[in-house]
Amino acid sequence: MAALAGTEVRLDGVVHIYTDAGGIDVVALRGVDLEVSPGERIALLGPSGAGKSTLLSLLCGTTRASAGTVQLDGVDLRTRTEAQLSRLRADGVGTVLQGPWRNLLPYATPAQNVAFAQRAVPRRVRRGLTPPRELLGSLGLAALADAPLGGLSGGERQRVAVAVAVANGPGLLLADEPTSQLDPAGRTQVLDLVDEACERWGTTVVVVTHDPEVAARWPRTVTIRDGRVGAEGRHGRDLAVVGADGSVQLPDRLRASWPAGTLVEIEESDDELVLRREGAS
Amino acid sequence: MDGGLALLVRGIRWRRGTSLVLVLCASVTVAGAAAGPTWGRVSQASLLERVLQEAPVSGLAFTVQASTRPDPDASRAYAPDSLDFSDVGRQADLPAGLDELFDQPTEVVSTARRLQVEPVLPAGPEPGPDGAPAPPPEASLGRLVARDGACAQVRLVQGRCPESVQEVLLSDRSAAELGVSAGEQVRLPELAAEPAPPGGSDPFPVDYLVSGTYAAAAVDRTGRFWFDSEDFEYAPATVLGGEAVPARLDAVLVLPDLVLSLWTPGLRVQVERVVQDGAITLSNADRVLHDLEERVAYVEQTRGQLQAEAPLAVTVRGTETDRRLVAATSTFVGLQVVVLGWFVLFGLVAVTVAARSEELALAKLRGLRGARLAAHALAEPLGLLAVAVPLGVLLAQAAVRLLAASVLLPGTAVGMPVASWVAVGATVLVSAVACAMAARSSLRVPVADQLRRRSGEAAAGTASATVTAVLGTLVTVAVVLVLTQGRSAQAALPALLTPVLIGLVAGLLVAHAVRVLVRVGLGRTVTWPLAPYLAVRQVAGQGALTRTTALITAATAVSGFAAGAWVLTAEQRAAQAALDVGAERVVHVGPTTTTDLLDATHEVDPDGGWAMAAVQRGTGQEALLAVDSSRFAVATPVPGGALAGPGGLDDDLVPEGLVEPLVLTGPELTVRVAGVRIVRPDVELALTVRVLTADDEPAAVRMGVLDGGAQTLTAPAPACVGGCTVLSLVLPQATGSGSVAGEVDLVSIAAGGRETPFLLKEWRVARVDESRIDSAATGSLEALQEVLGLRLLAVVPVSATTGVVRRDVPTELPALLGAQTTLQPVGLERLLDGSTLEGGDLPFREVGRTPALPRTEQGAVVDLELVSRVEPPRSAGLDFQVWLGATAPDDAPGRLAAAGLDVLEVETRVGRRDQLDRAEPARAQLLLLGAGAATLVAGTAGVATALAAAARRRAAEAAALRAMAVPGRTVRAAALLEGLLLLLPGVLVGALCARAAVSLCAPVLAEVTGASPVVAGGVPNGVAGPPVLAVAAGTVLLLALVVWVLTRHGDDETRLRQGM
Repeated sequence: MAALAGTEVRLDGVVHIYTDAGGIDVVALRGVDLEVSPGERIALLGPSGAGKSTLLSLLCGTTRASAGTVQLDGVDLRTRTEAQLSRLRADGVGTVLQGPWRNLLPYATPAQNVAFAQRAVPRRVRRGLTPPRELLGSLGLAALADAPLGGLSGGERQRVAVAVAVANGPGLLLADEPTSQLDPAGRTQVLDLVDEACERWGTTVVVVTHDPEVAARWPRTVTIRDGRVGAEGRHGRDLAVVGADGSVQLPDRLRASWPAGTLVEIEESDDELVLRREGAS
Repeated sequence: MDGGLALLVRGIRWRRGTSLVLVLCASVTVAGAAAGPTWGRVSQASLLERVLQEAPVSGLAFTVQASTRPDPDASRAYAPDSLDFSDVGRQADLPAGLDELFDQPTEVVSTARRLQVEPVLPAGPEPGPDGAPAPPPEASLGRLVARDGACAQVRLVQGRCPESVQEVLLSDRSAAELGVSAGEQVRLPELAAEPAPPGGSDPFPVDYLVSGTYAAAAVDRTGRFWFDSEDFEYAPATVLGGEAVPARLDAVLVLPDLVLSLWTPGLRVQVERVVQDGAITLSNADRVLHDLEERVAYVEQTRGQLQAEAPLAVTVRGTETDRRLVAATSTFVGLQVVVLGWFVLFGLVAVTVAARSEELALAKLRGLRGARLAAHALAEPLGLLAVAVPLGVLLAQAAVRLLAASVLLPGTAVGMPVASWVAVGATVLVSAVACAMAARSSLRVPVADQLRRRSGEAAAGTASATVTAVLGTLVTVAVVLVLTQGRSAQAALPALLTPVLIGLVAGLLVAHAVRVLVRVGLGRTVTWPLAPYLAVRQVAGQGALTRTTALITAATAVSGFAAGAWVLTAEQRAAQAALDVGAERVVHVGPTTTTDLLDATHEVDPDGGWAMAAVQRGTGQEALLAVDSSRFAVATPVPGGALAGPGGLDDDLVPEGLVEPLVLTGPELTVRVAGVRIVRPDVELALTVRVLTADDEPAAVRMGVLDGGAQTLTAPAPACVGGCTVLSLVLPQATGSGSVAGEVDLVSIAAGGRETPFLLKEWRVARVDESRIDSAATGSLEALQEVLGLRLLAVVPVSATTGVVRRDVPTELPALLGAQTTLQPVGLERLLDGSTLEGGDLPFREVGRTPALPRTEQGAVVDLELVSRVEPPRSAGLDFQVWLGATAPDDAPGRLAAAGLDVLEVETRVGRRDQLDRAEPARAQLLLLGAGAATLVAGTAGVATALAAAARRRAAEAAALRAMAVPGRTVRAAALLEGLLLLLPGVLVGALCARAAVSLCAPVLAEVTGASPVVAGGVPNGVAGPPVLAVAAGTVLLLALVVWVLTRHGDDETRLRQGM
């Protein structure tokens, strides 16, 4: 495996609208601004339907944003051709999909799955990649290299899926609910593996999760709500994010007492913004 | 091993069920492609070999011939010197490569025509009964023949072979005809015109010593040596229209020098070369054909006086039509399998690729694209296709070998012709394209959609519409072709593709219709029970699944067509066999008399319940079938009771009021004449009675010269000792010549004490030319006033003879004609130019037409007894038969033999049908049956795979239903209903398509199976209905079983796990 620098991720005002099965346009993302530094690990949080998975698909180039820019290392993905996006997925972005079975060829061994992933890169590049068994060995999965997938536990399968995702030394690792359906031990093993990959090769990691414990493992979390970046967590502190349009989302814990439609007065005082119900003194 | 090959193998193993089905269908497709041309080739080889085996030896030869005509210029030199006979042998040498295929040449020298041959009586002619010199013995006709080694090929009865040019070797029956034996002499009076031999002053000899006799019966003139020689067509002397016809003798074998020394009768030198057994094969047939025809053209162009013929080339060329028919039929039948196989492959690959949609999405997510992605998607189906190629070829070989061993000529080699390899290559190529087309939509769909499990329905719909349009066009072309050229099998053979095309088009339309209907009715299902509710929603929600409807429609159409066509053509062949044979059994007997034939038939079947005598001459337009018309109905079911009424054909073929023959029995005849008055005193008339002996031998009883007054003439009549039939009384001029007029009063004729008066209603005046109906009468008749008798008022032109002829010898014959028989009008109004069994002129009066006559199909049917009165059938070329009806006892042929008939062969309707069944073009039908079975298997396998894939996709849904406590039987019922909803319309429409295709292709099928249009038209297409229905019912049961098995397969836990 080549030692690669992590990818810098930058999203500016990203909007994504898709048409559902009933022919209705749905706004999945409504102006997302996000920056992720090379080698940084972030967890994307948010309720179902908030747009987390859509954001992930924009980052891996399988979906094009309706508006705004998605840049990886300064390259706007909207300007790339399908071939270039495929190439990007081949050696620039590794992806772990939700569900243990969807990331692997069910009939192939872990080593063959890794080899399958490496087939996407050109032959000259492939020569520089870590051979499948060596890669699995380096990730502590040597014992599973030739095991039939059907005999692996969910955690083992997901670890193999992570290994496959990083097989080509991507600068960016995207993982969608990598620990769902796993027991705590399995979850820990998978997250350890992601950490290990990130630390070893400096890979930037974006993980979608619902699990606060997972989110707690990394220094930064980004919460997506209603298609926007609603909040960030930095080293255990929850922070609201001021959007490009000046909007700020209330933390979940305050929403019940500050329902939608509540009129507030906002006052600025030094480094503070004070919200006051209308009429309150 | 982590490479692509290992991945491929693992993928195939993972989907082993689908993979097996795909290999099976691909193998069947390849087998269909390979089997068609292979069977066509093998069938052609068998056909050629069979035709060559069955061909007469003269049809397997190359001959060169030179001949001279009789030269009227008597002043010419001794021998014809304008021909170089030795050149004949040189020209019979064939080019290298061709010469080795033939036997060594055989040289034959013979007289160009038959010569008069007379016995030389030792003591001069015997005096006649009235003391006048008896006329010389009547001449017989024989051809002098010198064939290399002929004497060694015959069995000598008397004497030895000729050793000098003044000796001849006669057949035993020729010798009997002439009344001579070995050591006696025969005379060839025509040779008196030959000039003396060179160097000799004696006139050319005309008397020859009979050196010996040979057994004519032992000569197999159809053997290789005798080369179908016409020189053995013996015929005894007979009477035609009251005129004596000389006997035709068997070959008079002599030394070559005798024939070569002649020129008056003309000579014929022929060199014959017969092809060796097994020398002609399908591989070299066309080359031999070309070389032989080239050789013939060369000889004719460079040697104007020589005539080269290549009957072998004609024989081989005669197989070309059937060979093309076999080849084309096999190819198009095979193509049906290929077309359906392509469709099945397309569907299967589409299903398997769709099942791998997530895998492909994963590949795209990993960055695979373009050729690598396509390779990943197609490696599996193409790999399986590659495996299927050798399997398909082996399958085709095995099937063809099995079929060939059971139905073709034993020993026919089964190879793999180039055409088969080309067909396999084309099939593989197009199958690969089908795979690519099927995978196309999965490859092109955006990965995000694919990850969200949205399929390319729109793309599939477009492809389906395109396929429907293309197939629809092909069907239209095929139908137009059949309707416009249906009678021309060669042109309409592509119509054999119509079942699969019609099936596919109808199937696609039905699939669309099913989809539309379930969508329209979707809203109403909310109130339905759960099972139909689920079934309709599933069909409505999975458009690709309706492809199975199209598939099963086409499969049912092809297999139903195969079964229906088989039954229809089998019926056609059965009808053709009945027509060809004429009766349930036909016993062919040796040459005999009409009387003996009729007597024997009546002896074995006195009640006339199952046996009928018949004599046949030729086939087709020229055929004449003489039957015992009173028994026609009991013997033959063809052409049916309408023509052969309860009384047979008697009413039609026997004119009313025909007098009975006058049969006299006694050692001498007596004729009473009341008076004779002739205008010319220098003319005296003699009286001769012409009779037919009990053996149908013509004989003349010379009664003596009429002296002018009342007179009773009595003469010995050995011919009437056993009974003879009086034909006529002729009055030749005993003295004087030229035209004459006068009256002769005839009173009675008697023998054995029985006197029969001459009655006006029983006699007519002889014509100037008895063989012509429109010939002028030589006088008129009137009844005598004083006594019973008649007066002949004769007006006889020069060189004619007057007389009276019995009216029981018909002057015209009622005849039933085939619908296509064309006979020219002759003489009197409404009479046609017919003939006797011996070929003599005899006007026919048409009594009716029938689409097809038994045995001959065309030609004419007349009454045997009547036509025999005109001229008894004698020729060796005639076929004497006894037809046996369905109720005839098994030992009827034995009874006929016991009754004195020489039973030669028993032809049966069953045997003829078997023969027709075994004919190569008909055997192509077996391929069609195989194709039907193959398409049904492939179709069912394709359907099973598609349904199984759909079931897998919905595993979670089924499990969820179970989890919601929906009873298992409801889930299974839903699946069963869904299957029936998809498949039942396909089966029904497929059956309708099969039935329609049978009707559409009926004329083509008739051509393929060898049935005539008349027979084919008589077999209703409706006979194809039951087998088509049977196939449809079987298909429904098969599919129900498949659906039931699929619904039982797997447990809920597995489904839940797979679905999650």
